[in-house]
Amino acid sequence: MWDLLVVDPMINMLLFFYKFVGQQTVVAVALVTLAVRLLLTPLTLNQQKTAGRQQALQPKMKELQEKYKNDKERLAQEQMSLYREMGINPMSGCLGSLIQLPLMIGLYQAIIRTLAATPLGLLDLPQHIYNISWLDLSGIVPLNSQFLWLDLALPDPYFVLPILVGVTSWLMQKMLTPPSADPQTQSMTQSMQITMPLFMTFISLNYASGLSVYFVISNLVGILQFYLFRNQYAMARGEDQKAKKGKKKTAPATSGATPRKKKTA
Amino acid sequence: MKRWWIPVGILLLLSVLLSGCAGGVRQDSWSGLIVDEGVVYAANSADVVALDATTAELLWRFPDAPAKNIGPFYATPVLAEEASLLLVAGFGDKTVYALRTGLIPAGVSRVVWTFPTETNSGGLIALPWQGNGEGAGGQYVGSGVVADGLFIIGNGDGFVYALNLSNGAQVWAFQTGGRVWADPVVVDDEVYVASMDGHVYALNLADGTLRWQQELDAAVTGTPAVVGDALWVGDFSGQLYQLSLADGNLRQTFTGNDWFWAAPLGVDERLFAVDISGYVYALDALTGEALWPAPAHVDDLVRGQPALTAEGVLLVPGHESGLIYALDAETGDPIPWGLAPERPGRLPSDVVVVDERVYVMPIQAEARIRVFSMSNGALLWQYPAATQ
Repeated sequence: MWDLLVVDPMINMLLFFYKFVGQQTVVAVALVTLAVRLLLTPLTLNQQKTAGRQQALQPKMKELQEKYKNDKERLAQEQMSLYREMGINPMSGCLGSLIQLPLMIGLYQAIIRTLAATPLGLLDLPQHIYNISWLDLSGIVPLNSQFLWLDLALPDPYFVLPILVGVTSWLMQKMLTPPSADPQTQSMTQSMQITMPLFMTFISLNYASGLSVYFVISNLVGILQFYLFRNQYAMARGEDQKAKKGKKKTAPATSGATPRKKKTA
Repeated sequence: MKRWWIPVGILLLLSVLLSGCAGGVRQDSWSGLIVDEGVVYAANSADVVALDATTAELLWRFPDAPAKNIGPFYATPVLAEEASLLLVAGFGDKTVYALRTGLIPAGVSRVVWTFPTETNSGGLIALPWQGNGEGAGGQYVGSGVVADGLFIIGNGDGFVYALNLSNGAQVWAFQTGGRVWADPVVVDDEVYVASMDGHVYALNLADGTLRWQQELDAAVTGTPAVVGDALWVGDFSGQLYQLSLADGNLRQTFTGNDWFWAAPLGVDERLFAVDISGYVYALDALTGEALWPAPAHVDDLVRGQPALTAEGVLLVPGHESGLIYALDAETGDPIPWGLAPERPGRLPSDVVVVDERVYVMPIQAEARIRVFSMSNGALLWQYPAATQ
């Protein structure tokens, strides 16, 4: 079922782009990565809007935690009512990740399978290719895995791609993870900002460089999306701030959400 | 409390997901065996073994220390120098080994030479008389052929190498545009090589210079079959081509249903070919006409080359089921034959028939070699022996 719904469509998309756009595996990987990232854009946007709003609520949350530190049930009720009041679904961020992660893993599998570096891997491939006679995708296998100095089915011998993967992963983590008012969360975030790029670099050092190409393109698209849509994140935060100000005038007792403070040197 | 374990946990989970998602990249491999003078020589998953064909007794193993792993192998071993030399080419360590066959006195190395000189596994010591060490850059999938004092073999780096049989020195190399997974074929003083760049090349045996090349529609992994003055070869576009041996001119094509991966089998003036969807074709090798009213079909994925027995039974290895399908070579009709072994595994390798016995090398099964009686299909022995 996993193959049928997730991996096979991606394998065929890769082969389609390979066949009709220059017969270059790198181009096909780039286009499929782009397509998947674009497909996920609404989710990514929603996820980051929610993250921005939640971040704006941090001071208020902290107040509630202080106020109800001895009554966890009440604390939960108050937190939920605050979320409701601000129109935030706290699970929507998780939902985005829950959908994105399998798709990313599926794309990874599709790349590895399409490159089919081993005979058994290649033997496994035809059963995942759609039998559409006018497309004739199975006839183009195996793909040309040579690109510049790289054999995309093997790790990069000069470590250029692993370094690029590390740098772009760090940049993306840095940009997309908002600072948190909670010291514990902040500590975890900082830890992730270091360990995640290191982990991605390690994977790139040991796996097919086609996968590294996917990591780099995926990171670059993520960074680009951040730049393109950052106004929307700011708007999301701004709306919350306006809402907070409005509430202050009418119901001062429930106000407290403060805008994110700019870091000062 | 520090929450350092959360990112570490996430990374561990990702590691598990990624390693589990390696997508068909298994450590398992298909390899092949040959039978000569009552001895079975097989490239096992991690080593090379010689077994008594009757009793399954292990005669020798290389490397002899079980801890050393020079596999996996895809290439079938080849005998040379009146069966005194066994040539095996590794997929994992990208090395060709020339091994002494038979029992050897203590203190004498089983390795005569390796190509390249330094084995990539690092587990063997290079011998001083070995080749020039230029070596191949890729993995060996296809087997080699011995002719005129040379061992000729294709490599995953796109080259075909000719090695001096006596010392492993590289005599010549010819570059194709893709991986070479098919065995080269030698006829008289010419070497025919099919490459995954979708070409068939004819080379001079002596120096590897190009005589002719013919472009096909897709990649070729199956070894060409020579019948008469023509070469039959199948490709991933699902076509079989008949090429003139003399100049490579295309004489005719036959269209199947799916990739032709298994090497076609030429017997007398008949050609048997099977595509990976399990469609089996019998053609007149001279005219290209179909000999059966319709292709036979086995409901399986087929990668290995079929074998034709003296009784006129075509045995087709089924990769997915691990079963051997028997067809009447005259009509293509299925014939009841054999019993399915317990946990048959998968069967991507060729079927070998020698002396009324059928040999196969399953993967993902407890046995690496199974031997059946041709007459009734009964399992005669398996290696390693079944655990009770």
